[in-house]
Amino acid sequence: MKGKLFRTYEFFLVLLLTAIAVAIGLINPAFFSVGTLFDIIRIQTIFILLAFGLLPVVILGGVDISFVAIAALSTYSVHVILIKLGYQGGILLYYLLVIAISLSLGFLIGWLISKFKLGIFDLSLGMNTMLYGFVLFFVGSLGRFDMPAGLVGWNQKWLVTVDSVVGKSGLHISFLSIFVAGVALHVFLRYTTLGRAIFAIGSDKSVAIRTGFNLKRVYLTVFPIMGVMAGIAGLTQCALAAVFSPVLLMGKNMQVLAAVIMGGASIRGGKGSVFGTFLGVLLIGVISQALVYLRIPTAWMDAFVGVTFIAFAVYQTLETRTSK
Amino acid sequence: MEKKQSFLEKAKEFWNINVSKSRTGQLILVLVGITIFFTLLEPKFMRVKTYDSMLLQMSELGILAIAVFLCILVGGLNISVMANANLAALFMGYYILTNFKPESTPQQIQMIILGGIGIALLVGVIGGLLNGLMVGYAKLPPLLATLGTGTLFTGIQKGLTGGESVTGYPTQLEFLGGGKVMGIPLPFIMFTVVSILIFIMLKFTQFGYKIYMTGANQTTAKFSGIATERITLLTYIVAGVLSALTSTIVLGRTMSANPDYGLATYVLFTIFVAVISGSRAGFGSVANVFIAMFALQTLQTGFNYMLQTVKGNTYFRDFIWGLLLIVFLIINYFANVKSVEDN
Repeated sequence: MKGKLFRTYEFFLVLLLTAIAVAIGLINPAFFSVGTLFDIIRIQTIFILLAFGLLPVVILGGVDISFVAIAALSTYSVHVILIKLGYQGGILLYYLLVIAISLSLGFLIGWLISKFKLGIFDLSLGMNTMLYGFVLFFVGSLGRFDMPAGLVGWNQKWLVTVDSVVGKSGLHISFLSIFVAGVALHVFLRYTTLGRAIFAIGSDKSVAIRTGFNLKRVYLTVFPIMGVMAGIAGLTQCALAAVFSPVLLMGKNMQVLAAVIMGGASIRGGKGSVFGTFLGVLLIGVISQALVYLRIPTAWMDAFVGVTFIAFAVYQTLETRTSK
Repeated sequence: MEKKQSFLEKAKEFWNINVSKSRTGQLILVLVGITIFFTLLEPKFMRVKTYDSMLLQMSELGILAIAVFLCILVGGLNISVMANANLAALFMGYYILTNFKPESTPQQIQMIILGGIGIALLVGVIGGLLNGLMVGYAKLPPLLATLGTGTLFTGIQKGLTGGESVTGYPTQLEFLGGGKVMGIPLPFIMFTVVSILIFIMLKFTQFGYKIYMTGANQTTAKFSGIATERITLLTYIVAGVLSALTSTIVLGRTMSANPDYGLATYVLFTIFVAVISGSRAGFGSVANVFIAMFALQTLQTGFNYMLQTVKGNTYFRDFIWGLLLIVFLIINYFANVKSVEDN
């Protein structure tokens, strides 16, 4: 049992994270602080949520890039409508409406894929362009800084705060959403028939169908999950930054996908874990912080993400081939 | 006694075989249809000027679309072509800027530009080699492999330039992006020549035949003695070369090497062309890609005419393109269902 733990991929990720952190800490001791940890978690909260949403799709063997557009469309539309109606209440109604919209969009995607057997990536490509185009043309194209009274100060609700070099760092209450979403997703994927079906279809679609798994039901579950997680992530981001933007997260889909793959989800589907995904996002977060602490221009960030992504993907492929 | 076919029956037979059942026929029909539609809406549409700019605009994307088409044909996909082209344009630009001096004679500048094209081709080949090794030999899923390399190419370019465009080239370079040979824009000549060469390659060479075989069924191809890994690698290298050719047009037309150029839209458009031309692993023809590209450009130009007075029309166009892609994907589904039933 003990030997098994040390051989898991998640354990390897923890080691890698620690190694990178120690390396940066040796070069720049300022890196070693609770404040840095809180900063990384706060910045990565939304990416963790997005990655959780994408994980089931990747396990299913697909790649979707439209979740960022779902996040932008649902949050921005809700904000514009509520402001127009003179809404001054808290964030709860925002969450309910955003979830309703993102859930419906997820259902639409799942339905289109199961009904017309469309390629997941092809459809998401169309969806991504269409949804951003829709929100920018029909809803609005400007970032909105006007906030209902109930939302002002929400981004200062800390669970814990510590003093750090750059002022105050803290753990925001939105951290709890990672916890709730992570546990719920983990239980769903590991302990329900529907969750297991996602792994089965991702490993071998035709075998899974012959075994009797209901493909349609899986699609109609996976994509709404992705939609809702994207919606929640988008709203969290907007409320934290106190600005609602129609181009929210545009172009960030690659970073999220890279995090999911680095977190151990198989690029061929059929494999992946919630905890690994969490670590994968942190890994990207630590790398980007490392660039700052090592005084490497942040312009190199994309190249680093690209190289790490390719390295992980090649490693994964070679590993599965030798194990066979 | 053999019944003589009436003209109507002959026409119907011709229609069935060459138009309604063949993708090329359908595409030409669609192309003619949208051209008539836009001409009725806006009589200015049918002008030499319109076609002049259309031929210029469609060429960049057209060459990239052929690159993506080849990768789809061999059983893969390539979404790193534009990033590869941008990186090639950057190095071509660097080469020209380091060698170009204000006192250079026109002949010297020509040689410098030719050298730059050579550098661009080299970057294209290296990019294609990387993709080909990952897809062909390491057996990575093509979508993810090229997503990774695309991010890497753009990342390298952003790192080297800090995300800025690199400009300041000799004006002679503009010829590559919009110069005219006998009244026809040079980029369009390049697009046509590339189309014809790839057509010949696919139709009349062993390599082309093997691409179809590998795409249609890799296992069968392998057992028939085809080195599928090498065929895949070479196909991605050809795609890299085509990216490099595009980079020379882009650099000549925009006179700047920009890491973000075209990245937001080209994946959608190249996949769009692949979808409407009916290309998939082991099936498809360059002729269809060429006509599909023409249809896409006609739509693009038509939208521009119709929407030029609408505020925020680029957003509306994005909305329409996304919607159209989804609609055509669904149409493709029904077409495939029908063709399965027919057989």
